[in-house]
Amino acid sequence: MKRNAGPKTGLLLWMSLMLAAAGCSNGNNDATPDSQPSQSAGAASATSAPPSPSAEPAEILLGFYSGGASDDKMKELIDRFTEQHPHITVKTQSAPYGQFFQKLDTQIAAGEAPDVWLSDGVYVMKYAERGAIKDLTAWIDRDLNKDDYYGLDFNKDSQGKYWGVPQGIQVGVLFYNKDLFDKAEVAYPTDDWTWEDLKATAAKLTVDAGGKTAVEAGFDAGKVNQFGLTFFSITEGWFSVMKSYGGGVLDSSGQKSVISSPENKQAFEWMVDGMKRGILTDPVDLKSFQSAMSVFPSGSAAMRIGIYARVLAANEAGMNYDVALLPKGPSGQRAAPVIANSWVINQKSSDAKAQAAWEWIKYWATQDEVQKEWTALGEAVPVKKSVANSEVFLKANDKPANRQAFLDSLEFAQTLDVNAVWEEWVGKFNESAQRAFLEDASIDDALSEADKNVQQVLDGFYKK
Amino acid sequence: MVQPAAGSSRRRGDPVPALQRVKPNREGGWGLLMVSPYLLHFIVFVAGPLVASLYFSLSDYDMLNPPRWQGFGNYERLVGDPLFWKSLGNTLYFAVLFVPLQTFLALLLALALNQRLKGLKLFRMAHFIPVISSWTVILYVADAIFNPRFGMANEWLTRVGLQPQNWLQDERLAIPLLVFIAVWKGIGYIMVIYLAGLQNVPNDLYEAAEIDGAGAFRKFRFVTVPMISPTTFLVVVMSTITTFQAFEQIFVMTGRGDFASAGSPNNSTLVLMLHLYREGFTFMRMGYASALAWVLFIVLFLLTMAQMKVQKKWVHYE
Amino acid sequence: MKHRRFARFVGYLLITISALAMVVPFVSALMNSLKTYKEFTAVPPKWVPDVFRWANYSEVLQQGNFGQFTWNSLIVSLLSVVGALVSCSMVGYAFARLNFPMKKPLFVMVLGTMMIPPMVILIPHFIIFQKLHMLDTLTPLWIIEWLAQPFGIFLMRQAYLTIPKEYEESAKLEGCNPFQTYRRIFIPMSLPTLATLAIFTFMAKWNEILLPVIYLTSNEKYTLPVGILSLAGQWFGNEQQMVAAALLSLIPILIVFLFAEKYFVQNHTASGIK
Repeated sequence: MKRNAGPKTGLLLWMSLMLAAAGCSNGNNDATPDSQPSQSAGAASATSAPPSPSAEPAEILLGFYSGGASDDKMKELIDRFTEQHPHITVKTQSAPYGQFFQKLDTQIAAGEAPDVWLSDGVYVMKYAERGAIKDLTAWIDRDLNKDDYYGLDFNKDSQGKYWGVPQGIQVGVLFYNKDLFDKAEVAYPTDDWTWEDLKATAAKLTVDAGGKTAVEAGFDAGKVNQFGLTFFSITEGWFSVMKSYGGGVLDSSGQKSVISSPENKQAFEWMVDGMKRGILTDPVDLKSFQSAMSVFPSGSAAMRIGIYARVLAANEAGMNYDVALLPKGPSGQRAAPVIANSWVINQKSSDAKAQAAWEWIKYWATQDEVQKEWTALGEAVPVKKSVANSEVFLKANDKPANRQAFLDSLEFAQTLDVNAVWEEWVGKFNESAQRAFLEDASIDDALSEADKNVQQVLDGFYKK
Repeated sequence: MVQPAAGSSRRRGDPVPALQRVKPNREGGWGLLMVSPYLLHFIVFVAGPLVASLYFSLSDYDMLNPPRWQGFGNYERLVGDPLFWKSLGNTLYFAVLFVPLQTFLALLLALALNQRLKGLKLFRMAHFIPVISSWTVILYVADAIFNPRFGMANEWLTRVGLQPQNWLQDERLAIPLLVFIAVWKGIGYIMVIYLAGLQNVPNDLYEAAEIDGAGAFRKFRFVTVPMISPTTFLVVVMSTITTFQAFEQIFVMTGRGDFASAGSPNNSTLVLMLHLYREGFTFMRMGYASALAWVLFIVLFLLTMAQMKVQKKWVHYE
Repeated sequence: MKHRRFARFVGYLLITISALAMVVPFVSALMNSLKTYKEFTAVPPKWVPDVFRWANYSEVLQQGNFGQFTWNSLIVSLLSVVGALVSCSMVGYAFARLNFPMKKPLFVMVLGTMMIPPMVILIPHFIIFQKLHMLDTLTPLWIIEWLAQPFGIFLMRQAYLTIPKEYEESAKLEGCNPFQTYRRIFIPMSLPTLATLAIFTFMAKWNEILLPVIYLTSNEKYTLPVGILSLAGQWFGNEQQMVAAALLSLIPILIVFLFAEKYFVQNHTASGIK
């Protein structure tokens, strides 16, 4: 009996200590974030005019994710900025990409977040629709001539408000390994390819363990050594196929699933058939590589759908490759996936700090020198058209030769149906798509399951 | 109401009345003084955060906006969340395989290495290498062996005429294989705890046993096992808790740096902490994640209390 | 006698095989650190690179402020080790050997503290350190170790529970108070366990990633693992160079292990298996 008293009293003591702690110290109430009003994004700042420029001294905290060589460049650019704006002091905060957003969310919860930070393009709406960042529409209207820039619209919501200014743009094109094409004596991709053309060529470039290609008799689709096209998740996978077939995932409001459509079914038939024949990597194939990103640089696939940043790995691996426009759908429609990492401003920053933060964004987007320096790093397509169309971008390196393809693709670029719950619905969609890809479910079943699950995710946020 | 700790009073034979707290006897005063670092720890870093997380769990909380009280909504959601039940099942399955296997093998290993023989120093260090390796490095090695396409395991299987396996991509094999890899990585850690514990086993007990004519097995069974049982108890409790909090290993081994596919295939390796992290930090439902944490906490608490109770039957204290 | 020698031989053989299996990750990492990027991504994977590219090491050390990062990590880890040794042994001793009010419930709370998922108290802890004005300093990373972390308490308590009570009683007869008994008798008798605690604390702190990222803002305050992770960008990292840096960063842990290791096998040659 006595011995039982231990654990029980332990719990009791615990509870009472906790209650005592709750009662006597305000510190615990502080454990909840500042009582800053949390309007939904819509109501927050629809008509607020931008504070007028002033030379009031301001210190801002600037957040970005770090990355080897880019850190030094960043420091340089910040120094130049403070030289030009002597009244503004810039403190920086960088963190590895993998932990950046967990840190940011913790900081926002504690009211410690940066005044301006670099947001992954697919997260801008997550922060916008939860009221964590400022509406930049009025500032952009006042200070930026929209015709001079690529990609301002990538951060525009369905009501026409702008939430960020791109730091750099990632747009998808078709990467192809010239050596593998030459070896198979197959002609390089052309810009008028359809997805069917791509598949026909890819079949000739798919090789099994016995050295047979997918167009030869006796080819073993279960033992492929070299794939025609590698294929991965949303951005560099199903999204552009579905869009160019005329389908898609969400309607223009971003709140309703349009997954169950004949166009999507057609797109899925193209993909599932390709995987069944071993021409495209299926999800299990991908898992047998060190990472889904290493398939193309290792020469295990002749083609990939890739965003601009993939040139970094391809060049480091010393590949002989080039890029072309992504193929057209059956009705001639094109779609290139796009992600624009963007500068956004903290909703809770004071007017003076927000104004200083906007100066930083303006400096970033408008000044040729800044744009050129950043472009030279080779991580992203610059936002300023004059720089993107100059030698700095087009001939920054010798590979890939056809850099113009990235700029041409921006004409039909589409953001990834980004909204507040993007990551969650993509996860649900991937689950169902995977069942279709591995033929655990029929395409119809997988699409209707995805439709139901994605809509449920959307309703969980928008119809609360 | 409050009784002094039974275990120690038995030894002393003169239980201290609890309500002497007003004028504590000298030992009681010393005791409280010496545990005061933990008391401070509790007051500053445990009590408040626990209350906060309890409050979060009863709120709608996305971290970006202040929590809004909503009662037991998160707990209701949890009961109807198939992924919660799945992840709880997976976690228990993992723990049931992992804890006994690792404990037993680590004890054997520690016994083998607890000798003053030439070269054993190197062997001890070798067994510590996986412990200090990152999970990413472990992934490279595991991949070289268990990769369905290029791995050595399938090569051997085919060579002896067996069917190649999908290993980590196989729903049935994934958790047992993860357990195997976790034991391989973690055994050196437990070995170190056991090595330290073995130093406290008095030599004369072995000598006495030898005089009685006990062989190696009898010495192991009747001297080592009971004398090391406090360490075993520590190891079992600790491993259970760390298994329930396992996150990085599952994330790295099954996701390969891609969050969306961690827990694959088909959620068969989704463990509680992965579910919790995803709900809290990826889907911005910190309120729900806190509810998950509290349920996890209660499950662990009950498990540990059960272990505390059972220990009296097998743990030998001085 | 003969079968005993045979048993020893089998024992050595098993341990050798086991040790070899354990060294594989080290060898694999070493090989990976000497590859080119092309070799690193090769399919099927290559164990041994064609040419050992030692330049990976020199190149990676030129990026980032590794001297500063290492210094920061040393401060955090060493202060943590000292704090853990002092606080955990004292608290563990009290739980094992002293009677005091609320002892058992308090110990249940120690165990309970371990069961809280770290993720959900991240925000409250961040806010506490914000109020204490300790953000962007190294203090939050080691100060908590001075307040007796539960694992260390548990480890020390279990060790002290096995020490025969005769030692304690003789100390008492000499007029030692509990603290003196702890200092003079129990600490020297628990060196192996203290060594264990030192290794574990050092290793945990040296490798920690999430908390330094959360608490530190300025680049010059980064600890080593954060500095290494920062070498990779969102899109691309020269992974073979990061492996090289990570391998170098393991050296201090091995040194600590070697220092502490000599306490593991002190006074016994016998342990049951021969």
